[in-house]
Parts: sequence; structure tokens; C-alpha cells
Amino acid sequence: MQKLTITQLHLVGFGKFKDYTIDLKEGLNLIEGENEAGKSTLQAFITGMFYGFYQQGSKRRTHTSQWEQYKPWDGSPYRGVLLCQNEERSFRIERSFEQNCESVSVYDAVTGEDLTSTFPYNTVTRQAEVGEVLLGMSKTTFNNTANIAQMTCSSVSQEASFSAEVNDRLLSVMNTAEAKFSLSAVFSELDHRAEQTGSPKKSRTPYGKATLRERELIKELAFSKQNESEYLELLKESKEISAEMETLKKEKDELETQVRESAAKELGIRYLKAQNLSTRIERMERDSEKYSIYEDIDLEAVDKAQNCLGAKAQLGRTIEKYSRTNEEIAHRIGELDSFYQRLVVAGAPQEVLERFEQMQERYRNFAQLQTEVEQLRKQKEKADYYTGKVPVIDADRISADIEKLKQFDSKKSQPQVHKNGLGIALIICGVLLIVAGLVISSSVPIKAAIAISGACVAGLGAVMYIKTKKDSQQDNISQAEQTREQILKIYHLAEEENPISRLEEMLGKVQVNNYKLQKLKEQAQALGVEISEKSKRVQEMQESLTDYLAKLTQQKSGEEKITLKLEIMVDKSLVGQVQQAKRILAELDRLYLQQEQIQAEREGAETQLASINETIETAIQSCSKAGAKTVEDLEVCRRGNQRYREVSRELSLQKELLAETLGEYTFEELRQNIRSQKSSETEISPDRQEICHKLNEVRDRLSERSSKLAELQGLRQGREENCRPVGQIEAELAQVREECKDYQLELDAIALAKERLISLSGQLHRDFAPLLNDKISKAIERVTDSRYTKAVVDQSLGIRLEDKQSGKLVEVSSLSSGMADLVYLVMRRELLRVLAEQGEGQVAVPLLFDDSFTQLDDERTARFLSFLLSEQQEQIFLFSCHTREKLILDKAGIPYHFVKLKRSKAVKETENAD
Amino acid sequence: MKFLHISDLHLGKTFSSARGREDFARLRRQELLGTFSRVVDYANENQVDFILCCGDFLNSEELQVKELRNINANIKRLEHTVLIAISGNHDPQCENSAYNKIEWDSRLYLAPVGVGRVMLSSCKAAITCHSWDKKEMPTSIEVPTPSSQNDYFQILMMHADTTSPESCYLPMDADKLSEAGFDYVALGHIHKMQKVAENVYYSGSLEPLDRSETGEHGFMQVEVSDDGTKTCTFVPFAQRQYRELSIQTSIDDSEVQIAERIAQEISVQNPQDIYTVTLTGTHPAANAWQIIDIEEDLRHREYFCTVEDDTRPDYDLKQLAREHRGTLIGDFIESFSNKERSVLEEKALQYGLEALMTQRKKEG
Repeated sequence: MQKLTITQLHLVGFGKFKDYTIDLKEGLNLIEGENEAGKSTLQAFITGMFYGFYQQGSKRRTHTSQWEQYKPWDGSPYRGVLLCQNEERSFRIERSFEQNCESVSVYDAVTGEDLTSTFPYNTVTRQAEVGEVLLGMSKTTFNNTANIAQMTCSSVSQEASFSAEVNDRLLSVMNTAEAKFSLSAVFSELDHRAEQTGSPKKSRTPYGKATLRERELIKELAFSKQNESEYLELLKESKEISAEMETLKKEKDELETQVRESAAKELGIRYLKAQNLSTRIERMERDSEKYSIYEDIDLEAVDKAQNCLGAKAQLGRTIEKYSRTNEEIAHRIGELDSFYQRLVVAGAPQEVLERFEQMQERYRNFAQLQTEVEQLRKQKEKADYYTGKVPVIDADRISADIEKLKQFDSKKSQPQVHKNGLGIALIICGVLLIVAGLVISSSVPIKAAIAISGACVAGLGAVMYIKTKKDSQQDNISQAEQTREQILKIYHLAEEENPISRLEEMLGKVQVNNYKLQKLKEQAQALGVEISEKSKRVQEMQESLTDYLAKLTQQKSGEEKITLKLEIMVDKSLVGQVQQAKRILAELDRLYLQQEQIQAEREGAETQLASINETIETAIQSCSKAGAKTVEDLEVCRRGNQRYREVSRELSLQKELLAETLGEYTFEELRQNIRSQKSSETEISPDRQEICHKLNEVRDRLSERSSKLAELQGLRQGREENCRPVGQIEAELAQVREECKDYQLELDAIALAKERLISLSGQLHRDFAPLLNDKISKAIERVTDSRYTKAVVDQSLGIRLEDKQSGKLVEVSSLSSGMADLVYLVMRRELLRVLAEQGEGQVAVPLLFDDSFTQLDDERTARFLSFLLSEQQEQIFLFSCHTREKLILDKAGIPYHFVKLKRSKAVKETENAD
Repeated sequence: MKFLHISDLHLGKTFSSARGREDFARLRRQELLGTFSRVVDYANENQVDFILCCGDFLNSEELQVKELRNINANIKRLEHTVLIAISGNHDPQCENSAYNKIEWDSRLYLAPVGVGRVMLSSCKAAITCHSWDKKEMPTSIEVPTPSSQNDYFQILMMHADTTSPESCYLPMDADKLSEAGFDYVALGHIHKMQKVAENVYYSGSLEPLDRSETGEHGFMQVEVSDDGTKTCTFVPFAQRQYRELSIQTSIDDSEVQIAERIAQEISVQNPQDIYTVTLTGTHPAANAWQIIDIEEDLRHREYFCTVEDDTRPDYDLKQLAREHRGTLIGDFIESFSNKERSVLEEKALQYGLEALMTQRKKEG
């Protein structure tokens, strides 16, 4: 591989430089200058000297923007000289950039031989292709590989996208040899173009709109076809109806003609008819005049009155009937009354009669009670009889005798104690009387009487007491003996019979007898009471019945009162009479009520009759003008009025008939017509009515068809305005489809372009990858101090480094920005070498770095530069605006040729130093 | 006797409204109807006895009923002229024919389908005619024979294609038609006026209907004197002509400049006509001309103009391929280097290259 070294730059007039010379050496040339000192200008000068400033691929010679950019500021000649050498020869390139006299010449720098003609001639630029030969590569390749411009490093920021950008650039460099070329940007450009076309699914894009329109048109077309088909159907139907109507019209015309002819023939008949009608009308007019007096009759009143006549007669008959009925009722009442009066119970009040059954019941009770009393009396008599039969033995006496006997027995054994009770009692009574006489009575005499009585009694008592006391002591025993004997005698007892037990036995029997007697007495007493009570009730009932009977059979005043027995109450005759009396009275009540009702109805009928008479009178009044005086006249008036109306109606009808018969003619004109058509009168007219009937049918049918036709026309009109014609839609559809086809062609073309680019980039990758991998791997190993030993450019054109420590492949994007930049620089340099080796010239092209190490730290910068210089292959230009690179180089002991550019006076104040 | 021979009016034709030409499409459609109206005026003013319309009087499927009524209203204006029409491939007498959709005035005589004859005794003209009932007729028919009325002027009306025996539109031999014994053979279908054989004429369409139909359009006027002498004259009658222009462009041009140049050219010729402008030459490598902008510009100047871009990008493919050999650009060009590129390939190459160049230009 040949190495090309630039030895001198002489800028006669280029940008800010004028007549400015820089000497350069092999190896590293550090060109330092502040911003705007002219570093980029020098880079452009080197490129321009080799290639000129021409548009690539242009059919005509056109300049790039750089040509305009580096025109000398002061108007000095726009040209320069570049001295370079390879291993064979030294060259002097002289180039003029002046418009209209652009030229490039290449001389042998040693012999001065013009070598220009040995270089290929470019027909577009009309210049020798100097750069292509000496550098062995196109301007594009040179610019984007050897010329590593400022932006690569200086514009690289720490943005997240940086690593991705580096990756993308690596890929691009491999594919296009253009460092700043981005394939993804190319795809983006193509995608942008595709987006402008759009797609069928994106309705807002042109293609989408066209597709949408296509769909709409397809729908519209279907609808339009349907519409047209329906329209044609309607049209067909309309035509059929029109044809039918034509036939009907003809038929109608024929019938009308027939009718007209028939009418003409009937004119004569019409005249005669009119004549008859006129005669009739005249007669009727006379009649009408005659009956006109009845015109104003209030027919309603007359009708009303006449209608009342029947009612009136009926009412008369009704009233008469009422009278008769009344009489009959009165007669019946009389009969019944007379019959009633003959009854025993006549005059008895109604309630008395009503109580008859009750009283009958009472009477029966009375009779029963009487029987009961009788029986009770018999029982009493029986009791009284038995009472008299039973001997009355005093039990007390027996008891006392027993006691006496017992006392005697005891006295006989013990001294007897006498009792002097009566005397004491009399004394007490006398004392009490005295006290009572003194206390109770208010009158002195009574007091005295009572007191005296008391004193007497008391005295008597005292006497008795004293005497008894004396006797008793003496007579006690004897008396007792006597008493005992008396007792035994009384009871016919012997001393040996144990009188006391006998007496006690006797006492028992006596007590039983006494009890029975007592009971009989009580029974007799009770019967007496009951007999007394019932007799009283019998008496009361008898009185009540007698009283009732008196009321029942009460006589009219003056008549002799008849005394009736109570037994009559159950007498059948009286019962029958009472029942008859009740029936008669009920019948009489009914008849009286009927009589009242009939009377009321009669009064009502009489009121109605009066009202009817009034109505009739009013009607007669209303017909008074027509001479009505009686009810019978009303009928005459009514008939008169009716006749008048009939005549009037008939008259009107006849007049209408006459007018119809005359038609458009007057009577006189008709007569004239008849005279003029006298000849046709003789023809026989067809049946006009039948023709008219037919004509009407035809007219109806025609009208019906006409409305149907109108309806169809309406429907058709609707269809007409409904949508666009099929052809129009089809034409637009074809147009839209053509548009869609064009859009699709656009998309297909873009897709094809992308497909080719992807395929080619893949191919390039496969071509470059093995060599590039090898070279990059070696270089990377060196610059990273063997941290990464292997670089792999994969199928997807991503680059990864193998981390020696971890043994893993690391994505460039995951590296630090400094390391990524370093990889990038190494990549470019190796790529340049690969390209140079593959190029025809196989030239080691000078490398131009413009502030390319800003992302690298000092160590990496030094290591990279050492790496570059170690192989001693390319001349290196390092443009820098910092002193950093100089310090690094000095520190690392890397030899370099130093060129200092100064911003303000660049032309004069340059400094060359080694 | 004087009659007009017209054909291919295509009344109702829908013109393309693509690329913002909606107004133009509407206008042209209306102009066709207007031209027919002017023919009626011409016939009235020039004592024309009858008009022969040799097919495609209507674009049958593209007319609304109200438009048919308007056409009929124009026919009614004929004062003393009869319009004798045959149907062609655009207005065949099929079921949905526009001729069935309204009641046409009696001044229009539409020849029934097939071969028929009309005798105009007042003019002593026997018109033999043939009408279509379908959209295509790929086989020719036997040449009709003239009427036996020898003293009548014998006319044959047909809608046929005499230019190609392979035509789907009733291919007929012009010479045979000429030799059939007719005094005048009035043909329709071909839109350019031409005499294809002795006595055999195409009147051409009354108005030009697309960009290919350049030149004058109108009708044939035939006058037959009493002694039987016949004079056939072509009367240009179209409202506008289609014209073609070619404009050279270069990368130094802009759309405005191109539009200006076209406008200048149009103003020199006839501003009323319809132009098809073809741009030739080059356009900037990465920027094709914006045709829509140019057309819009010309539309604003009220010119009827369609611009076709036939320019090529300003690069030499071979040169470019050589310069970029071994790179993606070079390989991309190489991949399309087959001899005959299809339209798709041509476009793909153009778009891909434009994208590549644009990208390079941006960065460069």
C-alpha cells in the first residue's frame, strides 16, 4: 500500500487565507488554533485541492456550497497549490477555483513535468480526476472516512441518543462509506414519502380518502343500479298505463260522440218534454196560487192540536170511567155498610174486633180458672171434713200430765218446792201498768186510770202470792195425790200399768195425729187462700170479658142494652160475625182508598184536558187567517198547507226538469233547433242511458288510471332525483380506482426501494463484516489495553465488543460515551483502511481529525494517537482548538509537527514548530 | 338539400376530476350540452333539412333524467329540421337506455336496432341506418344496400370502426362501404374527422373529449344541389381544442418559473384551449417537480391545463454508480440495472435514490 504524504499547502487565495503556506511532515501534524482561526478552511482546502468543489452525480458541472463559502474575502485569485508525495513521486497540484477559468494541473514537483493528461478526465467537471487517482478513492469516501470532521466529536453530547447514533453511524459507514450517512434516515425519508401517500386504512391520507371514496362509490353504484332498475320498472308500468289510457281515451271519445249524437236525436223528445213540462208548470202555478192562503199556517201547531184530539177524547172517556167507578165503589160501600150494621158487633171499634181472638183466649182461660176454683173448693171441703173427724187431743196436756206424774213421783221422794209464779207475775204487771200510766199518757185521767189498774193488779198479785205461799205449804202433798189420780182417770189408766210410759206412748200417737191435723188445717188454709185469689181473678176476668163483650156488642145510643152471657164468646155465630165485620171493614178501607185514588186521577185528567183544549184553541187561532174556526177546520188547513207545499216542490222540480231539458237553450231556441234538425228527428236514438253508463265507466277507469299514472310519475320523479346516474358513478369509480392504483404503485415502489436497500445493506455487511471484524478487533484490543479483544458486527449491523473480563459481548450503546467515541474512531480508521485496501490505488490516505477527541480522556487520546502512529502508515492531521492535545502528546512523548494558527492575523502569524 | 353529419356528442360524459379538476370536469360536461344547443341554432339559422347523428349521441348511463329533458328541450327548438340518430356503443338501445327514460320529441327519429331505412320524401333522401343494442359488436355486418328509389339521394348511417378489423366496435371495411352504392356514408365512432374512402366520412366528435383528441372538431355539412352535385364541408364547431405543449426544465427552475413559462406559451397559442403540458429535461436530484402546484398556479390563471412530468432527476445514473461503486448507493443503482425497468422499478429506483441523495445532501 502506498502512503501519500502532503508536504506543503499554499493557499494563494482561499477563504480568509491569502498567500499562505504551511509546511507539513510525515506522521502527526498538530494544527492548533482558536475558533475561527481557519482549521476547517484548511481541511476544505485539502479536499478542494484534490477534488474541487463539484456536485456529485450531477449531469452538469455545478458547485457545492463550499465553493461559494471559501471564495477569497478580499477578491484575490481563488486558487492554491498542494505539494504531496508518495513512494514513487512528488506531485505539485495547482488548482484554480475561479469561475469560468477553473482548472487543475498536476506536475512532477521535482522535474516540473505536466502530468495532468495522465489523470482521467471527468466530462462533467471537465477536470482531471486528481483526488480519485492520488488518494485512490472518491471524494465522498475521502470526506467521510479520512476526513473525520469536527462534528463527530464536538457536537456529540451526552444525550441518551448518542450511543444509538454511534451505532447507526457505524452501520452507515460500513454501507455507504459515509460517516454522516444514516440508513435509518433514508428509510425515514422513504417512510415520509409513503406517509404522504398514506394507506387504505388511514382515512385521512390521500390513499385512505381514495379508498373510502371507492367504498362509498361502490355503495352508491349498487344503490343507483337498484334505483335505475326500479325507475325502469316504473317507466314500463307507466308506459303500459299510458297505452291503456290511450285506448280508454279513444273509447271515451267514441262514447262521447255517441252521446252527442244521441243527445241531438233526443232533442225532439226534449222539446216535447219541455212543452209538457211548461203546461204542467202553468197548472201547478195556478194550484199554488189557490193554496197560497195556507202558506203561513203554523203546521206544527196544527199538527200538535190534531195530535191532541185523540188524547182529548181519550181523556173524556177516562174521566167518565172514573165517575162510573166512583159510583160503583160508593154503592159497594153502602151495601157493605148496611150489612155491617146488621151485625151484632157493628159499631165495635176496629181494635176491639182485632182483640176478639185474644179475648176468646181469655174467655177460655176464665172458664178453666172457674173450673179450677170449683175443684179447689171441693178439696177444701174435703180437708175441712177430715179435720173435724180427727180428735183433738192436747199433747201439751199429756206432756204436762206426764210431767206432773213425774213431779209427783219425785215429790214423793223429795220436799216439794212450790212455785208462786202467777202472783209475782201479777205484781210485776201491776207495777208496769203504774209506770206506764205515769210515763206514757199525757192526760191525767188516763194516767190515773192506768195507775190505778196497775195498783189493782199489783195488789191482786200480792194477795195471790201471799195466799199461794200459805196454801202450797199445806196442800202440796194432797194436791199432788189428787192430781195424779185425776190424770189416771182422765186417761183411763191403772196404777199398775206404768202410767208415765203409757202416757208417753200416748203422747207419741197424739203428736202424730196432731201433726196430721195440723197439715190438713194448713192445706185447707192454703186452698182457701188459692180459692180466694183465683176467685178474685175469675171475678176480674169476668169483669174484663163482660166489659169487652159490652164494647163488642155496643148498641147505638137509645137502644136497649142487651145483657149477654160470657159463653157467647165461643159462640160460632159471634165468631163468624166478628170475622165478617173485620172483612167488611178491610174491604171498606180498600174501597175508600180506591175512591181517593180515582178522584186524584180524575183531577189529573181534567187538568190535561184543559191544557189540550188550550193547545187546540191556539191552533185554531193560528189558522184563523185561513178561516179556521173549529177543530174540524184545522184538518182542512193542514191539508191545504200540505198541498201548497207539494205543489211548490213539484213546481220547482218541474222547473228544474225544464231547465235541464232545455239545457243551454231557451225554450224558444230549442224550438228553433228542432225546426232546423227536423230531418234527424226521424232517426231512432240509441239507448243514451246505457251509453252514458258506459261512458261513466270509461271515465272512471280513465281517472283511476290517470291517478295511478300520476302516482307512478311521482315515484319515478323520486327515483330521478334520488341519485346520480350509474355511468357517472362508474366513471368516478374508475377514476378513484386508478388513483388507488397509483397510490399503491407509489407504496409498492417505496417498499421495493426499502427492500432493495435492506437487502443490499445486508450484503454489504456480509462482505465487510469478516475483514472489518478482524481489523476492528485488533485495533480495539490495542486501544483498550486488551480490555476488549473482539469486536463483532452482527447480522442486524449492530456492533458488540467482547469484554475480556466478563467474556460477554457488550453493545456499543451500553458503553460510556468516551469509549463509544473511541470505538467509533477506531472503526472509521479501520474502515478507511479496508476501503483503501479494496480500492484500486491502495493508498494510505492522510487522516484528518478535527477536534475529534473531545469525548476521550487524555489517556484514551494518547493511546489512540499512539495506536495511529505505531503503524507508520498514514500521515495524520490533528486540528485542535485546545492546547490539551499538545500537552497530551508532549506528556506521552509522541512526536509531532506543530502548526499554530492565530485567529486575528492568521495569514501572517503562523508558526511552525517541531 | 342541406344536412349536417354529426357524431359522438357523448352528451353527459363524465370528465376526470382528478387532481383538483372538478370545476373543469363540470364545465366540459356542460360545454358538450352547450355545443349541441349551438348545433340546433346553426340548423335553424342555416335552413338545414336534417341532421344525421351517427351514434354516441348520449353517454346513456351518465345522464340524469332531468338532463335528458333538457336535451329533449333543445331538440324541440329545431324549427324545420329533423334529427335522425342511430345508437352507438355508448348509447345502445338496451333495456336501460336513456332513450327509454323519457318521451322524446317527434323531431328526433331514433333508428330502431339493426338495419333500417328512413325515406325523407320532402328532400328526396333515402337514409339507410344501423343502430346498436349492445356495448360491443366485435363482428362486422353485411354492408347494407341502398334504397331502390334511384332518384333519391342515398345515405348510409353507421357507428362503426373502419380503422381495424380486430375492433370490438363493429369493424367495417371502408372500401366496401364506399362501393355499396351510397351517395354519402356518414360514420361515427372515430373522434377525428376524416374521409376514409370515397364518399365515406367520419365527422369526428363534435367536441374533443380527451387530451389525445387534438386538432379541430366539428361536423360535416353536406349540400346537394338540384342537379345532384354534392358539396361536403367540414365545419369546425368545438368550443375548445386540446393542445399539447412541451416545456423544458432544468434544476435551476422552480415550479413558479415553470408555470410562468407554460402560461406564456398558452397565451401565445389560445388561452381558451385545453393544454396537456409535458415537462421534459431534469429536476433536482432529490426533488421532483410539484405538478400539483404548477397546475394550481395555471388554474388560477384560468387556463385549462394538465401537466405531465416527464423530467428525470438531475443525475447520471451511470456516473453516480461509478462514483459510488462499492457503496450502498452504487449497489442500489446496480440492483436496478436490468435493461428494461418496469414502472414500479423505475419509481423504486427514483424514490430510493432520491432518499439516499437527500440524506447525503442534508449531511453534506
